[in-house]
Amino acid sequence: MKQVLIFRLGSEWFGLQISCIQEISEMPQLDYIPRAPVWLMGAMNFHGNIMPVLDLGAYLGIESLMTVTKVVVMPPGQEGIALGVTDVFRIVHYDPDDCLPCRHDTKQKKFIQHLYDYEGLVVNMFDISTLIEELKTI
Amino acid sequence: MGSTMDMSKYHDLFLTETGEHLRRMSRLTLALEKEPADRNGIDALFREAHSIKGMAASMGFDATARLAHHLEDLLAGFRDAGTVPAQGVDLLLSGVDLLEGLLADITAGVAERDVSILIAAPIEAAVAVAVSVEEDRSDSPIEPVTELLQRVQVVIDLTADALAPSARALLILNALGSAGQVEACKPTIAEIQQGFPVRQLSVWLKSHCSEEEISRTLHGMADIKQVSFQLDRRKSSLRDDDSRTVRVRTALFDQFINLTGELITNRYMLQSAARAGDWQEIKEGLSLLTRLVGDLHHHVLQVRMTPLESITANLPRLVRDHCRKTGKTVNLEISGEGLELDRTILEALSDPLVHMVRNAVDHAIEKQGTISIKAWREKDMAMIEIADDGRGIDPEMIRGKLVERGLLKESQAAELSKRKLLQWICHPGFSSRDTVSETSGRGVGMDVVKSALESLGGMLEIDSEVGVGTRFLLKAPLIVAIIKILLVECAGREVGLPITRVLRILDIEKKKIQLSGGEPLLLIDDEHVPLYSLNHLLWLPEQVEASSTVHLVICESQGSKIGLMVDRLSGQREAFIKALPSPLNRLQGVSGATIKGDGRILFIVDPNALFYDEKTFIEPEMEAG
Repeated sequence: MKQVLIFRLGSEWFGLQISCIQEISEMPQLDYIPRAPVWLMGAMNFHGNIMPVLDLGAYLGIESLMTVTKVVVMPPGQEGIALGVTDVFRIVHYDPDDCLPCRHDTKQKKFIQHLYDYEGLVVNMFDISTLIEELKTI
Repeated sequence: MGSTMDMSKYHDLFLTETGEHLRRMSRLTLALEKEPADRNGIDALFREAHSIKGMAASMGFDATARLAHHLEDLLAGFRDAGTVPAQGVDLLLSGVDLLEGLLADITAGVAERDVSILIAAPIEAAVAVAVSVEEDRSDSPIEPVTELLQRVQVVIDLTADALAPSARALLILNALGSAGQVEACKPTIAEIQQGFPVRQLSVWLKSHCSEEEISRTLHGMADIKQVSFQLDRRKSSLRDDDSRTVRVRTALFDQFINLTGELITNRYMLQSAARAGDWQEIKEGLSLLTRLVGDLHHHVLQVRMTPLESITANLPRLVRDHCRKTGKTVNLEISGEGLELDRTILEALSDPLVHMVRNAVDHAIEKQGTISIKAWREKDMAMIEIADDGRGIDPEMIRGKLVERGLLKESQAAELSKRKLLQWICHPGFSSRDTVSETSGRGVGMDVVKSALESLGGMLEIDSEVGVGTRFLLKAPLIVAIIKILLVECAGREVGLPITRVLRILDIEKKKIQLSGGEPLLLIDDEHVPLYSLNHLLWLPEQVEASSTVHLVICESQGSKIGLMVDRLSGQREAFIKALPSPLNRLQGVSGATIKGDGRILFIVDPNALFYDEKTFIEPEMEAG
């Protein structure tokens, strides 16, 4: 059975398959990236690699002034980015039977594969590949 | 599992080595064309073919082995005859071409192409084959080295009343696919398929085609309001980093082993000193460690050094073939090929070099002439000069074109010195339009050459005299990894500027800055230097506190001096530059980053690229007017 990490962006819950995650860490010290778009918070030194931290809430336009306390680092081979999130909740087993379709009128539909009902908590299942594809064209 | 790993290791080695043998074969054959009776040359060529045969046979690449064997036979025949006939040279060259094709097949992992046509033909008939093989080459999809692949961004505006814009967008993408490889588009294909209301489609295309040819593929399509082009300045990632291999001299490798040994000893020494709490001993250990790490670093960089020859070896062949096509006689002289540069730099220089030599043959030289390539070292920079004795570039012609195309006002153009005028052939707005051969025969893709060089921290100088010839001087750093940077601060943020870009730094009184049309400028040695706020260029807030002095960094950009106003100058340092990972590598004006001693990251800003971006807004305005 697949496992997903449940994390929070502002007041919404999101789920990300743990196969898409290399590491979860506290918000590190960030350094200034010149001419970066507003949703790039800065760069972190991740084991000697330069990794930009993306303000996921701002990028998705969900919550612009949310606090970011944790970063979720993508595994190597993807775009080398880390996602800044409000908080992480826990890693849970994921049962596809508990999936619900997402609202069709949300503007972030392309990033949300479907909704997952985790013990009554509505979790947006996040589609990381769409994000990575989109970053390639920016 | 283990055995496949091993095979793939030999596979890469085979590809690299065969490539090297083929380059030498091509060069030796060209030498034989000039001196057909050179016995040593024939022998050397024989040995190269023999090596390829042996390696290919042991790797199981039968067609390659058979062809190499056939070339061996031919060469044995020539050796017995004591000379290589003129057709023999053609035949050998087409053999080399075919081997290159086979190598491309092997690299791509497809079946080796048919070689029987060349092998089966007897010498006289083979010449006919040779010619046909040669002609084939021009439109064969695999012409690995010589094409300058460009990435262009095509922007297509759809009319507002397009009925099914997303369907139209898909058709456009399809059509563009015939002109090159679509790398990305915005909106994305997935978005288009979901019925995203497309009004404007941006497509990043990797293509050999000129803009005109690309436009032509869209010709006659309904719903298209306008097609425009932007040269894509994103760093090209044409080469796959992971598959590259490096060969290391055994002596150098032994030094690594020795150094490792010393480091291990050093570690024990430090450990026991720490246990004993002997500070003197720890201090000594640390200073030894500093030296060892320095040594190690130096040696690691050496591994990356490669002679210039690796990218110039193909040029004699290129020139020969080009001469054949155009009926010109061009003598190519190359010297200083032993100069060693970092691989990354060499690879980035390879396409521009080919391009410039080809340009010189095609346009600069009228009937016959000489192209000379000289390379030498000046301090930390490699100098590569490409000179021809062709028709030269007329600066007045450039002046006329600049006004004609609306790139400059007549009064502005009238003031430009010759040196500045010549720099304009590297301007994308000037060179990407296809009227170049009538002006000077230069400029096609010179902007690409220039930007390739600048992204390495290098520079391009152009000098030309009508009727005497043109000289391009490429200045590139020998080692890309370490550069000197100037640290500056803007709005409390620190960035580095490559010292190679900086002409001087100045502190001036604020009142010395004058305004022209609201824009600040400064008079330095009778020259008007436009000033720009780096805060503004970096999209940072301006410093609020008023101070009476202004810190200026004077840089050269597009042949002119510019001044960058910064909040603070905070020193110089040497920095080990790391290439930026995607998506950071697409930030305009940011060329790299370095990790400082305390682990913090410092980004390097290329003032030229910042400035370039700032200036591009001129172009659309001009086009609209």
